[in-house]
Amino acid sequence: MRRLASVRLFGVLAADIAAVSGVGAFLPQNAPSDWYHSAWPHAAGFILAAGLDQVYASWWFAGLLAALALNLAVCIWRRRRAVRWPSLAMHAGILLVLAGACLRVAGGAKGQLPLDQGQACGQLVASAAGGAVPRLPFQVRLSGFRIEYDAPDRHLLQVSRDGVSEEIEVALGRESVLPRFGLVLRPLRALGDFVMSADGQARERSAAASNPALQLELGWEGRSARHWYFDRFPDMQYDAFPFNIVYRHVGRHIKDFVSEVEFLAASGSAVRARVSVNAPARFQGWTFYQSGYEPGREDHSVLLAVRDPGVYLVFCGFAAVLLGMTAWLVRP
Amino acid sequence: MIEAANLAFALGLAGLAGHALDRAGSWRWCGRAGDWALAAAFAALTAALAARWYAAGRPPMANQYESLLILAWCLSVGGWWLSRRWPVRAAGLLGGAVFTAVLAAASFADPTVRPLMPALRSNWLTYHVFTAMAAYAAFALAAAVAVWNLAVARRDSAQRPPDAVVLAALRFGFFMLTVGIMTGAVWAQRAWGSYWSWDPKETWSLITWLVYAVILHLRRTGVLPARKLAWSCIVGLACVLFTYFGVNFLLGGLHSYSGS
Repeated sequence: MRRLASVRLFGVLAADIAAVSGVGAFLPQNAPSDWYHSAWPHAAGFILAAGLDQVYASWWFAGLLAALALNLAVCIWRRRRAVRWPSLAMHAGILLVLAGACLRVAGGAKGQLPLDQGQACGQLVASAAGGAVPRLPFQVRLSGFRIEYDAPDRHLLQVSRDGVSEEIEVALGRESVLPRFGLVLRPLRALGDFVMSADGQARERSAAASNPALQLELGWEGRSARHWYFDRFPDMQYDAFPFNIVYRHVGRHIKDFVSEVEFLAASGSAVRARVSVNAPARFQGWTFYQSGYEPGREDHSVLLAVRDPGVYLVFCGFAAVLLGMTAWLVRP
Repeated sequence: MIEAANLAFALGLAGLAGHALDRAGSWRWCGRAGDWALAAAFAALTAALAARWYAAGRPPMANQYESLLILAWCLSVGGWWLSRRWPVRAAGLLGGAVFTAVLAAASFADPTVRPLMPALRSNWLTYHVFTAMAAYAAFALAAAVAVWNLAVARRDSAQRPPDAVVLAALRFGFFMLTVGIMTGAVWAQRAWGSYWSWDPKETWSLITWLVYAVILHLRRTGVLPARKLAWSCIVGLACVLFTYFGVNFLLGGLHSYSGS
């Protein structure tokens, strides 16, 4: 028992856990076995046989954590009368964290829920993390999805002709007149990530401002034309025009992704909720996180559904560790 | 903003030079001037951070440059604490050296103010980054004192810092690192649905935490005398440096934005 509770054993276990964790951080985890054979042809056999491709899910890593938990538990028990409460709280807190993690492995579930607007679904699909992918005991319907931005886009144009230039800010649909150039401009359409589809239509490829473009209607000397101007390609000009126009896009930035959903219980009741980044929604023991979206589609959203029966135990462990550690810091 | 940070760097260098001259030539006035320069550097850095906070409309903790400024700010507070707990001339020299080294590292990072990505728009960002930087600052000061202990105080025991100073810095750093890891875990649970994902930064934070836990336990049981404690602090700082810089540049992961 004394050896089981010893600081020396803690040191050995901590060193082992640190060492294999370090290996797991350097060696790509959960890759297909072919990948290891192509990346390390000589070491692949050992990596796969030892489970180094899945360090954190291996039985021997779980064994190390279990041994650490046993070491802590016996240590707390043997020294319960000899040490002050902060020390007991810190060590017991770590045990609670490990217990909560065990509960997650034993009773937790996780999966992605891709939804189209108006569609109700309860079947999860496997997320990258893997694990059990059950069917939800209720359905989730996507009422709407939107991307929120910090501020609207700004469109700046640098117009120049015969060595004279002028910069103006234009707005979609609003006509701007430049008397010194005899030019009338009207922005028709703006795209943050311009791409030309197979049928020759300009469309948005993603919500990111990867290729900002502005379509202008130009009028000068009784003539008119419509053209696209690109922020990333200022040299793309039209030789037929007596002037140059350089478009600069001052981009909006994505603030949040928001899904409006309805949870449809088996009893027939419906509960509305909003899911956004850093603001998940809960329903019947499941928590829903904003996980993804499809560029160019504002009628589609991907949620991550998680059930973790151990998470509150983990947080209680955090509280115990912090309480004990604060007292230990004040009175070492 | 950048001008104020550069001014802080210049004043830090001046403070470091003052303390170096004080030590080399026993010119006390240089040391006193160095103290004033370091205090002015702290004021300039505080102004730089405040201006950046105001301009960006968010706490300046979103990328490598900003976190280095926060680290330097924590180091200047820690340096002041060190000079109070260990009132010898070397304290200013060590504090100034670490402070200017961190600001020099910041000069290599991109200082552009950028809007936060959605996942970072949370109050947890402030708690998580600040506690982590406070921990790194405490570990850096402990290691600086340890290096001094090994390099200089070995020949002159009068210059030797009391172990209590190193231990106090280690204890504070360990506490802050624990809070940093836990705030990160709570935030990750809220943003990504998992308090722990074995992301490289998380993993290396755990490794660093285990290293310092072992150091403090061994010291507690008397297995780690002053000299071994000093070497342990240096090993611990190597883990901190890898967690902070190495992971960003070599391993990526969920914290990859912090390397930009």
